[in-house]
Amino acid sequence: MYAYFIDDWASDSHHRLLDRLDLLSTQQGVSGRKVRLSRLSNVATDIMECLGSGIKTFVAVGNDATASKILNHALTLQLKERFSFEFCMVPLTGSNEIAHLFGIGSVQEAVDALVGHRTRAFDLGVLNQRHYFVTAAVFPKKSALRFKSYSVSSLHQDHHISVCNTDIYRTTRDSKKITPDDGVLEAVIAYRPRHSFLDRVRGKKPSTEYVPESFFPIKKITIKGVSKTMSIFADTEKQLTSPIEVEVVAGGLTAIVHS
Amino acid sequence: MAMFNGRDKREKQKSFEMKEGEVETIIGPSVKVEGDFKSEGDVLVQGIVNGSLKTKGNLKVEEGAKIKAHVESASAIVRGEITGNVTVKDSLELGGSAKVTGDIITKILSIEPGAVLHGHCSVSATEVEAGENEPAPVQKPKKEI
Repeated sequence: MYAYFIDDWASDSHHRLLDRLDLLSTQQGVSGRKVRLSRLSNVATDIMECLGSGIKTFVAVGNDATASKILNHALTLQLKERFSFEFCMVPLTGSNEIAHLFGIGSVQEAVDALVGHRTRAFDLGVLNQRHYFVTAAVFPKKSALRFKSYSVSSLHQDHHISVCNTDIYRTTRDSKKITPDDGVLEAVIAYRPRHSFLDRVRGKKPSTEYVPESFFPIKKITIKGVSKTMSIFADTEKQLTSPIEVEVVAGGLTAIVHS
Repeated sequence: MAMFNGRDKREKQKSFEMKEGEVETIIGPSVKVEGDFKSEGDVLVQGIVNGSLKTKGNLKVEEGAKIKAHVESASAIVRGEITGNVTVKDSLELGGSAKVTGDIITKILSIEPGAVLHGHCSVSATEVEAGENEPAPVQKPKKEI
Protein backbone atom coordinates (compact mmCIF):
# COMPACT_ATOMS: atom_id res chain seq x y z
CA MET A 1 0.00 0.00 0.00
CA TYR A 2 1.31 3.41 -1.01
CA ALA A 3 0.55 6.99 -0.11
CA TYR A 4 1.53 9.66 -2.65
CA PHE A 5 2.04 13.06 -1.05
CA ILE A 6 1.67 15.54 -3.88
CA ASP A 7 2.94 19.04 -3.30
CA ASP A 8 0.53 21.90 -3.86
CA TRP A 9 2.52 23.55 -6.64
CA ALA A 10 2.79 20.22 -8.47
CA SER A 11 -1.00 19.78 -8.43
CA ASP A 12 -1.38 23.25 -9.88
CA SER A 13 1.26 23.30 -12.61
CA HIS A 14 2.34 19.76 -13.51
CA HIS A 15 -0.86 18.08 -14.62
CA ARG A 16 0.78 16.14 -17.42
CA LEU A 17 3.46 14.62 -15.17
CA LEU A 18 0.91 13.78 -12.50
CA ASP A 19 -1.39 12.18 -15.11
CA ARG A 20 1.57 10.15 -16.33
CA LEU A 21 2.37 9.07 -12.75
CA ASP A 22 -1.28 8.12 -12.28
CA LEU A 23 -1.32 6.08 -15.48
CA LEU A 24 2.01 4.32 -14.89
CA SER A 25 1.29 3.52 -11.23
CA THR A 26 -2.13 2.08 -12.12
CA GLN A 27 -0.67 0.04 -14.99
CA GLN A 28 2.12 -1.33 -12.80
CA GLY A 29 -0.11 -1.97 -9.79
CA VAL A 30 1.55 0.53 -7.47
CA SER A 31 -1.21 3.10 -7.23
CA GLY A 32 -2.33 4.28 -3.81
CA ARG A 33 -3.85 7.02 -1.74
CA LYS A 34 -3.19 10.55 -2.96
CA VAL A 35 -2.67 13.25 -0.38
CA ARG A 36 -2.51 16.82 -1.59
CA LEU A 37 -0.17 18.97 0.48
CA SER A 38 -1.74 22.39 0.74
CA ARG A 39 -0.48 25.15 3.01
CA LEU A 40 -3.18 24.39 5.56
CA SER A 41 -2.92 20.60 5.47
CA ASN A 42 -1.73 18.81 8.58
CA VAL A 43 0.94 16.40 7.36
CA ALA A 44 1.25 14.60 10.70
CA THR A 45 -2.49 13.81 10.72
CA ASP A 46 -2.32 12.65 7.10
CA ILE A 47 0.57 10.32 7.96
CA MET A 48 -1.28 8.93 10.99
CA GLU A 49 -4.35 8.30 8.85
CA CYS A 50 -2.23 6.47 6.29
CA LEU A 51 -0.65 4.33 9.01
CA GLY A 52 -4.12 3.60 10.35
CA SER A 53 -5.10 2.28 6.92
CA GLY A 54 -2.07 0.02 6.84
CA ILE A 55 -0.01 2.19 4.45
CA LYS A 56 3.69 1.95 5.20
CA THR A 57 5.23 3.36 2.03
CA PHE A 58 5.25 7.12 1.71
CA VAL A 59 6.02 8.62 -1.68
CA ALA A 60 6.85 12.32 -1.94
CA VAL A 61 5.83 13.83 -5.30
CA GLY A 62 7.59 17.12 -5.99
CA ASN A 63 11.12 18.16 -5.09
CA ASP A 64 13.58 18.08 -2.15
CA ALA A 65 11.42 20.45 -0.10
CA THR A 66 8.43 18.09 -0.49
CA ALA A 67 10.53 15.09 0.55
CA SER A 68 11.99 17.01 3.49
CA LYS A 69 8.50 18.00 4.68
CA ILE A 70 7.18 14.42 4.60
CA LEU A 71 10.32 12.90 6.10
CA ASN A 72 10.55 15.37 8.98
CA HIS A 73 6.93 14.84 9.95
CA ALA A 74 7.22 11.05 9.64
CA LEU A 75 10.50 10.85 11.57
CA THR A 76 9.25 13.15 14.35
CA LEU A 77 6.10 11.04 14.63
CA GLN A 78 8.23 7.90 14.66
CA LEU A 79 9.88 9.11 17.87
CA LYS A 80 6.50 9.27 19.62
CA GLU A 81 4.70 6.31 18.06
CA ARG A 82 6.87 3.35 17.21
CA PHE A 83 6.27 2.44 13.57
CA SER A 84 8.33 1.60 10.51
CA PHE A 85 7.93 3.07 7.07
CA GLU A 86 9.59 3.09 3.69
CA PHE A 87 10.18 6.20 1.68
CA CYS A 88 10.36 6.94 -2.03
CA MET A 89 10.42 10.01 -4.20
CA VAL A 90 8.91 11.03 -7.54
CA PRO A 91 10.95 13.97 -8.87
CA LEU A 92 9.03 16.55 -10.86
CA THR A 93 11.04 19.75 -11.20
CA GLY A 94 13.53 21.89 -9.30
CA SER A 95 16.15 20.57 -6.89
CA ASN A 96 15.97 16.80 -6.64
CA GLU A 97 19.11 15.70 -4.81
CA ILE A 98 17.20 13.17 -2.69
CA ALA A 99 15.72 11.48 -5.75
CA HIS A 100 19.21 11.49 -7.30
CA LEU A 101 20.53 9.74 -4.19
CA PHE A 102 17.85 7.07 -4.62
CA GLY A 103 18.88 6.67 -8.27
CA ILE A 104 15.58 8.10 -9.49
CA GLY A 105 15.71 10.67 -12.29
CA SER A 106 12.18 10.60 -13.72
CA VAL A 107 8.57 9.60 -13.09
CA GLN A 108 9.14 6.37 -15.03
CA GLU A 109 12.18 5.46 -12.90
CA ALA A 110 10.23 6.22 -9.72
CA VAL A 111 7.44 3.84 -10.77
CA ASP A 112 10.04 1.21 -11.75
CA ALA A 113 11.63 1.58 -8.30
CA LEU A 114 8.27 1.14 -6.58
CA VAL A 115 7.54 -1.94 -8.67
CA GLY A 116 10.99 -3.43 -7.98
CA HIS A 117 10.70 -2.48 -4.29
CA ARG A 118 14.44 -2.67 -3.65
CA THR A 119 15.15 -1.04 -0.30
CA ARG A 120 18.35 0.45 1.06
CA ALA A 121 19.13 1.99 4.44
CA PHE A 122 20.52 5.53 4.42
CA ASP A 123 22.03 7.60 7.22
CA LEU A 124 20.30 10.79 8.22
CA GLY A 125 21.62 14.01 9.68
CA VAL A 126 19.73 15.81 12.41
CA LEU A 127 20.12 19.49 13.30
CA ASN A 128 19.53 20.50 16.94
CA GLN A 129 17.61 17.20 17.39
CA ARG A 130 14.80 18.79 15.40
CA HIS A 131 15.30 18.92 11.68
CA TYR A 132 16.34 15.82 9.71
CA PHE A 133 18.14 15.92 6.38
CA VAL A 134 19.13 13.29 3.84
CA THR A 135 21.63 14.92 1.48
CA ALA A 136 23.51 17.81 3.13
CA ALA A 137 23.21 20.83 5.39
CA VAL A 138 24.83 23.93 3.94
CA PHE A 139 25.85 26.58 6.45
CA PRO A 140 26.44 30.30 5.94
CA LYS A 141 29.92 31.67 5.42
CA LYS A 142 31.99 32.58 8.49
CA SER A 143 30.56 29.63 10.45
CA ALA A 144 33.05 27.83 12.68
CA LEU A 145 33.33 24.08 13.10
CA ARG A 146 33.85 22.76 16.62
CA PHE A 147 34.59 19.11 17.22
CA LYS A 148 34.86 17.42 20.61
CA SER A 149 38.54 18.19 21.13
CA TYR A 150 39.51 20.53 18.30
CA SER A 151 38.21 23.34 16.15
CA VAL A 152 38.59 24.05 12.46
CA SER A 153 38.82 27.51 10.96
CA SER A 154 39.21 28.67 7.41
CA LEU A 155 42.12 30.82 6.30
CA HIS A 156 40.06 32.44 3.50
CA GLN A 157 36.76 34.30 3.62
CA ASP A 158 35.08 32.84 0.54
CA HIS A 159 34.38 29.36 1.73
CA HIS A 160 31.41 27.05 1.84
CA ILE A 161 30.76 24.86 4.88
CA SER A 162 28.50 21.88 4.68
CA VAL A 163 27.81 18.63 6.47
CA CYS A 164 27.24 16.04 3.78
CA ASN A 165 25.69 12.61 3.69
CA THR A 166 26.11 12.43 -0.06
CA ASP A 167 28.36 14.12 -2.60
CA ILE A 168 26.46 17.33 -3.38
CA TYR A 169 29.47 18.89 -5.11
CA ARG A 170 29.82 16.23 -7.80
CA THR A 171 33.40 17.41 -8.20
CA THR A 172 34.69 15.55 -5.19
CA ARG A 173 38.35 14.65 -5.45
CA ASP A 174 39.20 11.05 -6.27
CA SER A 175 40.92 10.56 -2.95
CA LYS A 176 37.71 11.04 -0.99
CA LYS A 177 34.36 9.33 -1.40
CA ILE A 178 31.25 10.30 0.55
CA THR A 179 28.96 7.35 1.16
CA PRO A 180 25.43 7.81 2.51
CA ASP A 181 25.30 4.55 4.48
CA ASP A 182 28.62 4.38 6.35
CA GLY A 183 27.29 5.68 9.68
CA VAL A 184 29.20 8.97 9.50
CA LEU A 185 28.62 12.38 7.94
CA GLU A 186 31.36 14.48 6.37
CA ALA A 187 32.00 18.07 7.34
CA VAL A 188 33.24 19.63 4.10
CA ILE A 189 34.93 22.97 3.53
CA ALA A 190 34.86 24.05 -0.08
CA TYR A 191 36.33 27.00 -1.96
CA ARG A 192 35.82 28.73 -5.25
CA PRO A 193 38.89 28.32 -7.47
CA ARG A 194 40.88 31.54 -7.63
CA HIS A 195 40.35 33.75 -10.68
CA SER A 196 43.83 34.97 -11.47
CA PHE A 197 44.89 38.00 -13.46
CA LEU A 198 45.93 35.73 -16.34
CA ASP A 199 42.47 34.13 -16.33
CA ARG A 200 40.94 37.60 -16.63
CA VAL A 201 43.29 38.53 -19.47
CA ARG A 202 42.35 35.31 -21.26
CA GLY A 203 38.68 36.21 -20.83
CA LYS A 204 37.99 33.20 -18.65
CA LYS A 205 34.88 33.64 -16.51
CA PRO A 206 35.27 33.13 -12.75
CA SER A 207 33.97 29.80 -11.51
CA THR A 208 30.76 29.97 -9.52
CA GLU A 209 31.05 26.40 -8.31
CA TYR A 210 32.69 25.46 -5.04
CA VAL A 211 35.37 22.79 -4.97
CA PRO A 212 35.58 20.69 -1.81
CA GLU A 213 38.98 20.80 -0.16
CA SER A 214 38.80 19.59 3.43
CA PHE A 215 36.87 16.61 4.76
CA PHE A 216 36.26 15.66 8.39
CA PRO A 217 34.25 12.53 9.19
CA ILE A 218 31.83 13.24 12.02
CA LYS A 219 29.22 11.66 14.23
CA LYS A 220 28.51 14.83 16.15
CA ILE A 221 29.65 18.40 15.60
CA THR A 222 28.78 21.89 16.77
CA ILE A 223 28.64 24.70 14.26
CA LYS A 224 28.69 28.25 15.49
CA GLY A 225 27.52 31.15 13.38
CA VAL A 226 28.20 34.86 13.55
CA SER A 227 24.56 35.75 14.32
CA LYS A 228 22.12 34.10 16.76
CA THR A 229 19.86 32.68 14.08
CA MET A 230 21.34 30.91 11.10
CA SER A 231 19.74 30.27 7.76
CA ILE A 232 20.65 26.74 6.73
CA PHE A 233 19.84 24.82 3.63
CA ALA A 234 19.25 21.22 4.68
CA ASP A 235 17.20 19.68 1.84
CA THR A 236 15.03 22.76 2.35
CA GLU A 237 15.67 26.21 3.84
CA LYS A 238 15.58 26.34 7.62
CA GLN A 239 16.15 28.99 10.31
CA LEU A 240 17.83 27.61 13.41
CA THR A 241 19.42 29.06 16.53
CA SER A 242 23.20 29.05 16.80
CA PRO A 243 25.13 27.02 17.91
CA ILE A 244 23.80 24.13 15.88
CA GLU A 245 24.49 20.53 16.80
CA VAL A 246 24.64 18.14 13.89
CA GLU A 247 24.36 14.42 14.59
CA VAL A 248 24.18 11.33 12.47
CA VAL A 249 21.33 8.84 12.68
CA ALA A 250 22.96 5.74 11.22
CA GLY A 251 20.63 3.82 8.91
CA GLY A 252 17.76 6.07 9.99
CA LEU A 253 15.92 5.94 6.68
CA THR A 254 14.74 2.98 4.64
CA ALA A 255 14.24 4.10 1.08
CA ILE A 256 13.06 2.42 -2.08
CA VAL A 257 15.77 2.84 -4.67
CA HIS A 258 16.02 2.40 -8.41
CA SER A 259 18.39 -0.42 -9.33
CA MET B 1 69.09 1.32 13.32
CA ALA B 2 66.87 -1.04 11.47
CA MET B 3 66.89 -0.22 7.81
CA PHE B 4 65.60 -2.40 5.01
CA ASN B 5 66.65 -2.59 1.43
CA GLY B 6 65.58 -3.67 -2.03
CA ARG B 7 62.35 -5.59 -2.46
CA ASP B 8 61.37 -5.45 1.21
CA LYS B 9 61.67 -1.68 1.21
CA ARG B 10 59.59 -1.29 -1.94
CA GLU B 11 56.91 -3.63 -0.59
CA LYS B 12 56.82 -1.77 2.70
CA GLN B 13 56.49 1.60 1.01
CA LYS B 14 53.74 0.30 -1.26
CA SER B 15 51.78 -1.01 1.71
CA PHE B 16 51.25 2.39 3.29
CA GLU B 17 50.46 4.39 0.22
CA MET B 18 47.09 5.98 0.73
CA LYS B 19 44.58 4.26 -1.50
CA GLU B 20 42.13 6.37 -3.51
CA GLY B 21 38.87 6.90 -1.68
CA GLU B 22 40.15 5.49 1.59
CA VAL B 23 41.51 8.69 3.12
CA GLU B 24 39.28 9.46 6.07
CA THR B 25 40.27 13.04 6.83
CA ILE B 26 41.67 15.67 4.50
CA ILE B 27 42.91 18.90 6.08
CA GLY B 28 43.06 21.16 3.04
CA PRO B 29 45.61 23.92 2.38
CA SER B 30 43.17 26.69 3.38
CA VAL B 31 42.26 25.21 6.74
CA LYS B 32 43.69 25.56 10.24
CA VAL B 33 43.02 22.91 12.88
CA GLU B 34 43.56 23.84 16.53
CA GLY B 35 43.36 21.43 19.45
CA ASP B 36 43.76 17.70 19.93
CA PHE B 37 43.01 16.11 16.61
CA LYS B 38 42.23 12.38 16.77
CA SER B 39 41.33 10.04 13.97
CA GLU B 40 40.78 6.33 13.42
CA GLY B 41 41.69 6.33 9.72
CA ASP B 42 44.13 7.77 7.22
CA VAL B 43 44.82 11.50 7.44
CA LEU B 44 46.11 13.79 4.71
CA VAL B 45 47.43 17.16 5.89
CA GLN B 46 47.89 20.03 3.45
CA GLY B 47 47.09 22.91 5.81
CA ILE B 48 47.97 23.98 9.36
CA VAL B 49 47.62 21.91 12.53
CA ASN B 50 48.35 23.30 16.01
CA GLY B 51 48.04 21.15 19.12
CA SER B 52 48.36 17.40 18.77
CA LEU B 53 47.67 14.97 15.96
CA LYS B 54 46.96 11.30 16.64
CA THR B 55 45.73 8.71 14.20
CA LYS B 56 45.47 4.94 14.24
CA GLY B 57 45.85 4.99 10.47
CA ASN B 58 48.46 6.40 8.12
CA LEU B 59 49.48 10.02 7.93
CA LYS B 60 50.59 11.99 4.92
CA VAL B 61 51.92 15.50 5.38
CA GLU B 62 52.18 17.22 2.03
CA GLU B 63 54.57 19.96 0.96
CA GLY B 64 53.40 23.33 2.29
CA ALA B 65 51.66 21.82 5.31
CA LYS B 66 52.69 23.14 8.74
CA ILE B 67 52.20 21.08 11.86
CA LYS B 68 53.05 22.44 15.29
CA ALA B 69 52.05 19.40 17.28
CA HIS B 70 53.05 16.09 18.72
CA VAL B 71 52.31 13.55 16.05
CA GLU B 72 51.39 9.87 16.45
CA SER B 73 50.43 7.52 13.64
CA ALA B 74 50.78 3.97 12.34
CA SER B 75 52.87 5.01 9.32
CA ALA B 76 53.74 8.38 7.91
CA ILE B 77 55.04 10.12 4.83
CA VAL B 78 56.23 13.64 5.57
CA ARG B 79 56.95 16.23 2.90
CA GLY B 80 55.90 19.29 4.90
CA GLU B 81 56.97 20.94 8.13
CA ILE B 82 56.55 19.43 11.60
CA THR B 83 57.54 21.16 14.83
CA GLY B 84 57.05 18.63 17.59
CA ASN B 85 57.82 15.06 18.48
CA VAL B 86 56.89 12.36 16.02
CA THR B 87 56.01 8.80 17.08
CA VAL B 88 55.34 6.39 14.26
CA LYS B 89 54.54 2.75 15.03
CA ASP B 90 55.63 1.31 11.71
CA SER B 91 57.53 3.26 9.07
CA LEU B 92 58.30 6.93 8.64
CA GLU B 93 59.42 8.42 5.36
CA LEU B 94 60.86 11.93 5.23
CA GLY B 95 60.64 13.35 1.73
CA GLY B 96 63.12 15.80 0.20
CA SER B 97 61.04 18.82 1.23
CA ALA B 98 60.40 17.61 4.80
CA LYS B 99 61.47 19.72 7.75
CA VAL B 100 61.15 18.14 11.19
CA THR B 101 62.08 19.94 14.39
CA GLY B 102 61.59 17.45 17.18
CA ASP B 103 62.40 13.94 18.29
CA ILE B 104 61.48 10.93 16.21
CA ILE B 105 60.64 7.43 17.43
CA THR B 106 59.87 4.85 14.79
CA LYS B 107 60.48 1.27 13.72
CA ILE B 108 61.63 1.97 10.17
CA LEU B 109 62.96 5.31 8.94
CA SER B 110 63.83 6.46 5.46
CA ILE B 111 65.13 9.93 4.68
CA GLU B 112 65.37 11.40 1.20
CA PRO B 113 68.21 13.78 0.35
CA GLY B 114 67.20 17.36 1.14
CA ALA B 115 65.12 16.52 4.21
CA VAL B 116 65.92 18.58 7.32
CA LEU B 117 65.84 16.99 10.77
CA HIS B 118 66.60 18.77 14.04
CA GLY B 119 66.17 16.43 16.97
CA HIS B 120 66.88 13.06 18.44
CA CYS B 121 66.09 10.02 16.42
CA SER B 122 65.33 6.55 17.79
CA VAL B 123 64.82 3.74 15.32
CA SER B 124 64.32 0.25 16.68
CA ALA B 125 62.77 -2.96 15.40
CA THR B 126 60.78 -3.42 18.61
CA GLU B 127 57.18 -2.22 18.87
CA VAL B 128 56.94 1.54 19.29
CA GLU B 129 54.57 2.42 22.12
CA ALA B 130 52.35 5.47 21.69
CA GLY B 131 53.23 8.25 24.11
CA GLU B 132 56.72 6.91 24.48
CA ASN B 133 58.10 9.97 22.81
CA GLU B 134 58.89 12.24 25.70
CA PRO B 135 61.04 15.20 24.77
CA ALA B 136 64.70 14.56 25.44
CA PRO B 137 66.17 16.59 28.31
CA VAL B 138 67.97 19.62 27.02
CA GLN B 139 71.61 19.63 28.03
CA LYS B 140 72.84 23.03 28.99
CA PRO B 141 76.24 23.88 27.56
CA LYS B 142 78.91 23.88 30.25
CA LYS B 143 80.23 27.29 31.06
CA GLU B 144 83.79 27.72 30.17
CA ILE B 145 85.91 29.18 32.96
